[in-house]
Amino acid sequence: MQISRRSVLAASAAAATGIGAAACGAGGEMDPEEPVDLEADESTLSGAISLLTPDFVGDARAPLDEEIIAPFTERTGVSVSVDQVDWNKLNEKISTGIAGGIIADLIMTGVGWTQPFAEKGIFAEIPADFIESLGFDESVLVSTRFEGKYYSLPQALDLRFLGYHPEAFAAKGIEEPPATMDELAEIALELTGDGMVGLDYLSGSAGSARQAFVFLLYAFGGRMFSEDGMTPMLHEEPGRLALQWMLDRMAEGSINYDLRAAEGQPSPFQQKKAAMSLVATGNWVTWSQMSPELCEDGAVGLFLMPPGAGGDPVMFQGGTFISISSLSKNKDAAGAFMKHMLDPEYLGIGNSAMGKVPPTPDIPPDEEIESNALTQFGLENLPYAGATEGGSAAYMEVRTNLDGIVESCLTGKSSVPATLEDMKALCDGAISRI
Amino acid sequence: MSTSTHPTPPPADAPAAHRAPVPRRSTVRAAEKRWGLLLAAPATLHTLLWIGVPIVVAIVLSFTAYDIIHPPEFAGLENYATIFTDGLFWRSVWHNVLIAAIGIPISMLLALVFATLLNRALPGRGVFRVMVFLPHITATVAVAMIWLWIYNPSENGLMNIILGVIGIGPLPFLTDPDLALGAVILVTIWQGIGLKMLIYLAALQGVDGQLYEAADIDGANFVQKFHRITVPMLRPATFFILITSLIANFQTFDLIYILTEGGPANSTSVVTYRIYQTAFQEFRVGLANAQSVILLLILIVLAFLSRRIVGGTDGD
Repeated sequence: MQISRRSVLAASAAAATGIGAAACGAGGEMDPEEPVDLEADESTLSGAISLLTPDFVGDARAPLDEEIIAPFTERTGVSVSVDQVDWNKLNEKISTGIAGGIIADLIMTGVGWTQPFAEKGIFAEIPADFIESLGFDESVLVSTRFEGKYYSLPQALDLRFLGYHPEAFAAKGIEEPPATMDELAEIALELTGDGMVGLDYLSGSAGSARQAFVFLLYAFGGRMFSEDGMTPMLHEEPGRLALQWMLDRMAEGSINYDLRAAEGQPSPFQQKKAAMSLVATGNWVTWSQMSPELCEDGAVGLFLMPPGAGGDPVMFQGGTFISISSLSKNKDAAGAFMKHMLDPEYLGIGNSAMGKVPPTPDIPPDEEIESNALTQFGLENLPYAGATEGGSAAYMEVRTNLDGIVESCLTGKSSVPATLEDMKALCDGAISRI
Repeated sequence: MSTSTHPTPPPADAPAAHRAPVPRRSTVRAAEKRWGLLLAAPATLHTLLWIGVPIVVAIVLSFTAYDIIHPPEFAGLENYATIFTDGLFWRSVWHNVLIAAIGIPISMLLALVFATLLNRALPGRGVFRVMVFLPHITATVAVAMIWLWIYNPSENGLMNIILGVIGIGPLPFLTDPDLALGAVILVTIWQGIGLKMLIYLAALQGVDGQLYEAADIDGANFVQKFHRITVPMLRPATFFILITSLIANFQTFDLIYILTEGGPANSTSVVTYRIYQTAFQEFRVGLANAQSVILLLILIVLAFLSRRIVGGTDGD
C-alpha cells in the first residue's frame, strides 16, 4: 500500500471525526424538561439508577444497602448504585458529573443548595401535591423551593445548638444556661481557664467559619438574602454584630480559633478541653463510639443559641435534601426510589443509622432515635430551626468564597467593615450572574 | 562505513549513454519527507488531539460565559477584565511565586548537597539515595495525609512534639494564615528534593574526572573546584531542574487540595486551586479558562526568564 500525504491526512481526519462523534454522542438522549412522574406503576419500572450522597458514611452504609435499597430492588427490580462523596467535595462531584455526562439520577445535597441547582436546571421539579401529601412541617420545606416550585425534599436534618458539661457549670456555680448573647459571653469567659476554653465554637460541629457566622447572623436577627434571593443582607448590622461577637470572645480567650482536633480525634468538647460547644445532632454517633460517657443521662446539657436582639432563641438547620436529576434517563424509577426513601419506615432507618433528625416526627418507634438525646432535643425545638444557609440561586458561588472572607476577619487579616464590604461585593457579583 | 543514501554521481567525463539513471533530487526529498511525516504522525496526532485541541478550546472558551450546563455565550474580553480585578486570583499567583522563590532554590541547594555527598563512595549510599528519592515517588495524597499528622495543631502533632522539647508551641501550622504558607513550602521542599537530587547525581556522574585532576594539579581547593568546574558543568541540569520545578510549582494542586483547601483565609490558595474553584465550585468555566490562559502566559514568561538567567541548556 502506498502512503501519500493525502491518505495520511484523510485517515487523521477520519479518526478525529470518529473521536469527536463518539465524544459528542456520549451524553445520550435526555429531556431535561421531562416531569417526574411519581404516580408511575412500579411494575413498569426497570433498569438501574444511581444515588449520589454525602451521607451514609462508614457504619451507616450497611443499613442503606441492606435495609433501604434491598427492599426497593426486590419490589421493583430496579437496581440502585450508590456513589458516596464527602460533603466538602459534593459540589465538585456534581459539576464534574454534569461536565462528564455522568450525573447521578438522585442527588442528595444540603440546605441552600436547591435554589442554585434548580436555577441551573439540574434538579427536576417535584409535584407539589406529592409533597403536600407528606405532611412535613413548613419549617423544613422552606429550603426546598425555587420560584414557588419544589425541587427537593428533606431526607434528614442536622440541627445545631449548644452543649455544656454540667460539672463545669456546677464548679462555677452556674445554674442555668444563658438566655441572651451577653450572658453566653459572660459564662464563656467565666468558664475559661485552667486548660479549659469556655466555648468551642469554631471547630468540629460548626462545620466551617462560614456556618459559624451564619448561625450568629440569625441569632442577631439577620438573614443572608432578601426574600427573593436577589439582595444580600448578610453585610448589614446583624452581620457586623455576629463578626464582632466572635472577635470579642477570641480577644478574651473564651473562643480559641486554633483549638482544633486532628482528623479522627475526639473534639475538644469530648476531651473536656471546652466547657461549652456547638453541637450537631450528628455528633451522637461519634460520641457513642468515641466518648460513650457523654451519651449517659445528664452527661451533657443542651440549650439553643440565645437571641442577640430580643425575640426567640435560634437553632441552625442543616440537613440532607434529596433531588431528582433533570438529566436522569430513568426519572420514573428515580422518583419511585425517592418516594421509597421518604416512606416513614425508611426515613426512620436512614436517620437512625446516621444519627440525624427525621424531617417529620411521624415515623415508627425507633429505639436508636428515641435514645438519641441530641435528636430528641432537635425534634422538640424544631420550630426554632430558622437559621439556614442559602436563600438565593447565587448561593453556591457565595458559599465557595464566604469561608475565606470570614476566616480573614477571624484571623485579623481583614477588619469587620472590610469583611462586610467583601461579603456584599461577593454576593452582588454572584447575583449579577444569575 | 558510509551509510549515505545519495547515489555516487558518475564521472563528469563519462559518455552520456553509459550514465546510470539518477533519481531527481526533488523526488528523493519528497519520499524522505513523506516517511518523515508518517513517522512523526503518531506524536503529532497525539500532540494535536491532547494538547493542541484543549489549548485552542481553552482559549476559545476564555472569551465566553459558560457554566457547564448552558451553551457558552460570547463574552468578549469580560473574563480577562474580571481577572485583572480579581484580588484572590492574583493573591493565588503571588502564593505560587512565593512557593517558587523560597521553595525551589532551597530544594535545589539541598538536592545539590545531597547529590554531591551521595556521589562519593560512602557506605550505604544506595539506601540514602532511596530515602531521599522516596518522597518524590510517594503519592501526594499520602504525603499530604502524613504532613497533616505532622502539623497536627495539638501537642500530639510530630512537629509540635519536637518544638515542645525546646519549649515552643504548640503552633497551629495549618490554621494560622501567617504560618500556613510556610508549612506548605516546607512540604514542597521535602517532596521536591528527591527528583532534583537524582538529576544532579546523573549530571555529576557525567562530569569528566580529568577536569578535577587538572584542577588538582593547578592546586585548586574543594571550593574552587566546586565553583569553577562542578557548577558550570551542572548548568544544563540546573536549567532543566529550574524550568521543570517552576512548571510543577505552578501546577501544584493535590497538595493544597488535601492539606489546606486554600485556607485559612485563602492564605494558601494557589493558581490551579483557584482555577478549580472557579470552574467546579462557582461554575464559571469561561472565567476559569481565561485564568488558565493567563497561567500559560505566566509559565511562558518564566521559562524565558529562567533561560536568560541560567543561560539555557548549552552548558557554556
